[in-house]
Parts: sequence; C-alpha cells; structure tokens
Amino acid sequence: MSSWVAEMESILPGGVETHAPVALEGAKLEATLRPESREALAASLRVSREHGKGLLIVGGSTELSFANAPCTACVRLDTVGIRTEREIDLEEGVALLPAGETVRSVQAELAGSSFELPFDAAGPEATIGGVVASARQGFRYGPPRDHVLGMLVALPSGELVRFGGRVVKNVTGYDLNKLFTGSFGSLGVIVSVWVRLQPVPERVAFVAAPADGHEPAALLQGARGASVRAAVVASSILHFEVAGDEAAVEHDVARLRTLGGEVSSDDAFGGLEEARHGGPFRVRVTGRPTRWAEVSQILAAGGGVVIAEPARGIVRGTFALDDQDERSIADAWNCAREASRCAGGPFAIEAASVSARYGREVYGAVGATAPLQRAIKSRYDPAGILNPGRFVGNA
Amino acid sequence: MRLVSALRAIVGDDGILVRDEELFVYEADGLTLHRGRPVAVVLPRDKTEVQRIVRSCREHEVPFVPRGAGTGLSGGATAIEGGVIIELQRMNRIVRVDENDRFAIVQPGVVNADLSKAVAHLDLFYAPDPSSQQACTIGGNVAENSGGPHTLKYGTTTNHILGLELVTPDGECLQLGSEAGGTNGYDLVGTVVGSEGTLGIVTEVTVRLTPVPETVATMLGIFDGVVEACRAVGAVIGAGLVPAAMEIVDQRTINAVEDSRYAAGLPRDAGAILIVEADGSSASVARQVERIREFAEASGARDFQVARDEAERVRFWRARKGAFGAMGRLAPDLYVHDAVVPRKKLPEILAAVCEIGDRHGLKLSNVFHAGDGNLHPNISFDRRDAEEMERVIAAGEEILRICVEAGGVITGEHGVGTEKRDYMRLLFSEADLDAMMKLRLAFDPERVCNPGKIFPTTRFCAESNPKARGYDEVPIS
Ligand SMILES: Cc1cc2nc3c(=O)[nH]c(=O)nc-3n(C[C@H](O)[C@H](O)[C@H](O)COP(=O)(O)OP(=O)(O)OC[C@H]3O[C@@H](n4cnc5c(N)ncnc54)[C@H](O)[C@@H]3O)c2cc1C
Repeated sequence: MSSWVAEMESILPGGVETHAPVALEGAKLEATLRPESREALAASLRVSREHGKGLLIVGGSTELSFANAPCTACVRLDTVGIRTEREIDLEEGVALLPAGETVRSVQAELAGSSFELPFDAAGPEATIGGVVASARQGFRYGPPRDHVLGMLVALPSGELVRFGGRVVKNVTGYDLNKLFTGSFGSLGVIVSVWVRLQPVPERVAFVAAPADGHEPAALLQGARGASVRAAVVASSILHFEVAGDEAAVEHDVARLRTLGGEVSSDDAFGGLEEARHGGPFRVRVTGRPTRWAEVSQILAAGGGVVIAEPARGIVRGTFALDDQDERSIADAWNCAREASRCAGGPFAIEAASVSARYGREVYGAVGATAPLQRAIKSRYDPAGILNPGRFVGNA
Repeated sequence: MRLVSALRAIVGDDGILVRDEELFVYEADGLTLHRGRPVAVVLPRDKTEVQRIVRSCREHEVPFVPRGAGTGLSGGATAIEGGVIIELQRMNRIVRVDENDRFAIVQPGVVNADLSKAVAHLDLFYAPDPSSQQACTIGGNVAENSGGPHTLKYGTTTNHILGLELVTPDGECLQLGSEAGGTNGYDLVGTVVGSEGTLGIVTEVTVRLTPVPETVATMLGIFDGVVEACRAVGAVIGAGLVPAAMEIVDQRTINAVEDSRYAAGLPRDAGAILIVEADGSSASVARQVERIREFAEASGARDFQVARDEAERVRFWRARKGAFGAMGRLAPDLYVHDAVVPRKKLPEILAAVCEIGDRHGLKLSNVFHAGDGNLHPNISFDRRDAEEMERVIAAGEEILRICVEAGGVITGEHGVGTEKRDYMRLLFSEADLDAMMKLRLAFDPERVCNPGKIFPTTRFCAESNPKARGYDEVPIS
C-alpha cells in the first residue's frame, strides 16, 4: 500500500489514515480518506483508479446497507468534509448545497423562510449527497429526482463535471441528474447539488383515521386528495399530512373526516420515518396504487411489519428475522418477490445484514437491462473502483 | 440485398418513401434553418418492424433517425447525416388506459392532445401540454422532455413517464420502468427521457394520468411594461403560490396577434399581458385568484380580469397560443428561440433581447413561460435572404450568450438538436461533454442512432456554417 499512501498523502495532507483492517459492508478497509476540497477529492479518485484501489464511499452512513454484498473495496472515502460552493437563493427558491452537508442543518437554516428543503432525511446524520445518491424517498416530498436541478460530480478519471444548472427548466444535453440520482456512488462522487426548494405551505394539518372498516379503495381515494402531502398506513391507522393554502387544506380535511379521520396536533411522521427505517431486514415494493392492500397482506403474511403509502403504491415490510438463518432469509426474499409480482412493479431490499445479502440481488429483478446497466457502469468507472460489488449484478 | 429493398421487405410498399418529392418534406423539422435529406423514410407498424429496420440499417452501416410529427424546433428529427428516417406516426394506438391506477400505455405516434381527449370522460388528462400539442407526438415529447404552459405546476414530460419500451441501437427491445414507475438500479427511464432520440427508439410509453382539477380560473393582467408584469410573477411565486401557468406576452406580439386572425381584443398600447391560471378546489381557487389579483395590482397592473366563461378563457389564451401563427404571418420563416434564465433576471434579459433584435434589424417579439424563466424570442425572417439569415443567426447566438451570462441555459424545452450543438460549450467544459458522451456510448457505441445531434461538431464553436462541419466529433478520453 505504501507508494499509494505516499501519493495520496501528497494530495490529501492530513486526510489519509491507515489502520488495521476494519470490516464494513463485507469489505476489509485498511485506510480512510477525508478529502477537504473537491479538487482533492477528484485527484484522490484518479490516484485510486491508477492504483486499482476500490473505494467504499460513505456520507452519513444512513443508507449504507442498501447495496449488494460483499463490497470488495479496501479504502473508505468520507464525503462529509468536502468544502465547495454553497448558495441559498430565496428569491428564486433554489439552493446549491454541498453533498456532505446534513439535510437537518439545511432544514434548520431555512426554518422561518418561505421555502423548505424537499428531502426527507433518514436521521440527523443523513447528508444531501447520501439522499441524492440513494434516491431516498420519505413520506412527504416524493423522490429526490423531482427536486434535483443540477450537480457537480467527481469521476474516477479525476475530472469534475457539471450537469444541469440552477434554473428550474432545462433540457440542455442529457439529463445526467437522473442517471446519478439513485446510482449509489457507483458512477462518481457527488460533490454538490442544485435543489429546487419547495414553498412552505400556508397551513399543515395532521389527520389520523382508523384503517380497519374501510375498503382499501376508499382509503386510497382519501390518500389521493389534492392537498394530501403524505398518507401512511401503519398499525391499522391511516396518518395524513394535508398541506396547502387554508381553503385547500380545509377542503381535504373535510373529506378525510368522512373516513372517520380526526385532526390531531401531532406530527406522527417523525416517528413513522424512524419506524420505516427499521431492520434488520426491510423490503420495499413499488407497485400499482390499487394493489396496496393486497401487497400489504402478502408482506404481513410473510411475517413483515408493514408500512404502506397507498397513493404512491409503496409498501415496506420489516422482518425481525434471524440473519444467520438462511431459511428465513430465503422466505423473506421470496415473499418480496411475490409481493412485487402482485404489485406490478419492482422490489428492492433496503436493509439486510451483509450475510443475508450475499449472493443475492438487492435491486430485485433487474432482468434484461443488466447488460446495459453494466455498460453504463464501465463507461464511467472502467476500473471498477467506486463501491465495487455493491451495484446491480455486483458491479 | 440493398438497403431500400431490405426495408421494403420489412414494411411493404406502402411503408416506405424514396422519391425525391416525398423526401422533400422530411428535409427539416420545425427548424427550417438546418436541412438534410434522408435516403428513405420508413413507417413501421409495430416494434418488431422497428427492430428489423434498425438491424437492417446496422447491416448496411447506415444511420437512422427516429421521427414523430416533425414539429421539433431544434433539428432533432432531421437526417443531417443522411440515413433512414424511422417515422413512428403509424404506431398511434392507445394500447390501454387504467383509470384506477391512473396510467395509460400508448404507442409513440399518439398525438399529445388526442390522449387527453381520449381520457377526458374519466376526469383524467395527460398533463404535459406543449403549445404544439394538436400535432406533436408522445414519442417526440419523451425525446425532447417537452414542457408547456402548465409545466409550472405539473412539471415537464419526465415527471409523467412511468415506463418505456426502447428498441436499442443494436435492435434489442428493452422494458424500462413499469406501470407503477420505480426502478431497478439506474433510472433508465429518466435517462432516456430528454435524450433527443439518440439512445434508441421508443416504441411504447407508459404515462401517468392526472385528475382534472375541480375548478380552473384564468386571469388576464394588463401592464404598461414587461418589467411590471415580471414583478407580479416574482411576487406571486415569492409568496409560495404555485399557479398552474404564468405566461407573459410582450407588446410586439400583442400587436402581431391583433393584426392577425387570432385577434383577441387586447389593448395595443399595453406593454405586456400576463395570463395566469390557477386550479384546485373551488374554495382554494377563489382564494388564489384574490391573492394573485393583489400581487398583480401592487405590481402595477392597470387592469385585471378573471375569465367568466369558457369563451373568455379561450380569448385570454388566444394571444399566447396564436402568437406563433401571428408571427408566422410576418415572413415565410419563423425562428422560435428557447432559453432559460433565473426568473429575477427576466426584465433585464428581455430588454437586452429586444435591443439585440433591433440592432440586427430583425422582426423579434417575445412570449414566455414567465414562472419558469423560460424565454421564447421569436424571429420572423426569410431564409432565402442569405444576408438576413446571417443576422438571424448572429442575434440568436448573442441571445444565448446573455442568457448563459445571467446564470441561465441555452434550452428549456426545445432541445439542442443540430440548432444549438455548437453552443453547448457556452455552458459545458470538454469534461462535462465527455461525461455525456459516456452515456451515449454505453447505449450506442457506434453513434448510429440519430447522429449529429447534441454534441458540438468542432473543438471551437466559432464556425458559422453548420453544414461544413463534421458531426459528433467530441474527443473521447
Ligand atoms: C408551434 C409550435 C409550438 C411548440 N411549442 C412547444 C412547447 O410549448 N413546449 C415544448 O416543449 N415544445 C414545443 N414545440 C416543439 C415540439 O413540438 C416538441 O419538441 C415536440 O415534443 C416534438 O414532437 P414531434 O412528435 O413533432 O417530434 P419530432 O419533431 O418528430 O422529433 C423530435 C425529437 O424526438 C425524436 N423522436 C421522435 N419520436 C421518437 C421516438 N419514438 N423514439 C425516440 N426518439 C424519438 C426525434 O429523433 C427528435 O430528436 C413547439 C413546436 C411548434 C412548431
């Protein structure tokens, strides 16, 4: 490792730590890199590529277990300390945010302004880069792909490249924002992101309704109200967040009352976010909205604790299984497949121990697109140094 | 077997055009500045024919260009390097509509407006609404990631596509996405949308359908100047309101419209008009209208009206929708420009755009999607007049430069095509372009699918004759 370490230290003075092997995500990591500037990051990728060193890219670590296993990296690369430009433009409602910054800190900074950051963070450590790279979608704001306007990315070639921009409408060249959002650090390291902020609604109301005793279709209709920003079924209760102007909120709340909904002062969604992030084994099925109840039943029958978002057709099941027991892991996996077939959409294993993921495809049925996905990966990362083993087909 | 015979064997005699007079209409799309003649146009009926055509072109080492209705405004559907045009207008079936899960599966040749008409009885519509929606196809919309006046609230095409069937440049057929959206791995649907027909041929599209809003209110604000109209737009958006549409029409366009059969009875002395549409529940719309009125009046609107019925609503929109037709009357050709700037920069940029048009002695007017900062300077000209053409091109380049300097981009909805490929370097470095080329090569290593689009033709963008250039010559590292 030594010539490589010396070269790296010249690029990242004080930012290279070698240590006894640390096991993470199935990888044995012998060094940690902490670049502090984007140029240093880009140079460190180039040197890693030249020396064939696989890197495990780490942001806030909140989505680390959503990946294929095992990772064959030998070096950890921390993105949280990378300094880069930053701008919050409240007149335009857009912001350029460093990837290493936490979602919480940006939300705190925006509090009291007329805009909010439309990212649902998994926890206090979740970073902007992590949310975008993992396409992490929470209950409120929908998928990050809808809010990302532009990006600065460091590639394994050592280049820093930009896509998109700061404006809200843009078709100048390929939409690489879409390719990199949800690419789990397999193509490049996200340095900063232009985000379209969302106006703070005039009013927000929380409504809770019993889920039992209603037809699934009626609950779906309630969840599809024009101002319903989040609708989640958990433990037989349907939780709604209704957001918009006074009149629109009043209108939807009145409709939800017909489902037995009661306005509550409680924001239950914080707790639900935590519950939805549970493990040790968590499955996400994205399907046709009308199938949400059947999909929930399949996951529940397989032993999962279910949280469903009927309007988005997303159903998650958390299984409290023994991750050393191959049989119960295989059962949970089969249950996810069956749920996905019923849903008419894809499934993914969002969390599982490394051993449970071994030899399995967490991205679900990738099918005929696998060669194309591999071709994309090898164009951007020909030496396979970025998160090796963690993407589709263990790329 | 020679290419034409091979193609004829696939699509039959009535599925291929090869005579000069037939090919003439395919020499350009809506951008008449750039032209190229295909060797043949084929009109497949299904995806299997598309696959066979693609394979045949590959065997004969001839490039191919997908084409919808040819309304594109950046030269995207023009066979600039020759080759075969694959026109998808015959594949125009709405395959399935699912009202409960709110999606439709359509073939690429379905005309945008026809889809909304077909699902109107279900109280659903297809939200992306380019002004060309009576003619353009869903396949073309997907390729260009088209927007429209209602993009402000509903987003562009990319926000409404759940899945795609794609015939790749080597003739494979892939299913991307699903009826429910979602991805397994890379977001290939999001990546193909907006790729201008260079990553393959879309043979089926699964689109999201949107519920028709309970109430719609259309408003018309009359202002003494564009600056005041823009100020109103900034105030509305700054207050957190999200109207469905906010469109500004400048005085030059108002006069052109009033001189034409689209005349809407607008005051010719108005500096600008602002059309705003709000939708939602009736109580919410009433409140939005009141707030928008307050902001418009505080920004200097000298008159503010709310359409009382459908006829009035149509009249308000006529100035916007009739603009292209009205400007088209002024000269044989119309160059519809497209660029985006941060919204707050609109007043200064518009003043500069008009100054550029005047300085070059051109007939230039503006309509724009003000809420998105998306400008459309329109230049009426005659392409047979070489000297005027030069002025049109010089003015266009100046406009793009000032937009980029203001933090904007060179296209918001019409795409790069051949029109703007040599302006890509105003925005992107060699490394940025190279990163885009990597994607292209992953799908199409030989660059046979719609070559000559998006990527600059030369290392430097100073050359002015597009036809003298080679194509896709971006160096690959
Ligand atoms: C009067 C007028 C108003 C307009 N207003 C708007 C507007 O408001 N907003 C807007 O965004 N645009 C607008 N446009 C531009 C144009 O209508 C859009 O770009 C439209 O999406 C093009 O559709 P088309 O079917 O005509 O495609 P074409 O022009 O035939 O092709 C456009 C591009 O799509 C590719 N393509 C077509 N079909 C396929 C397919 N099946 N698979 C892969 N690639 C394919 C072509 O290769 C080409 O690159 C306007 C044009 C006109 C003339």
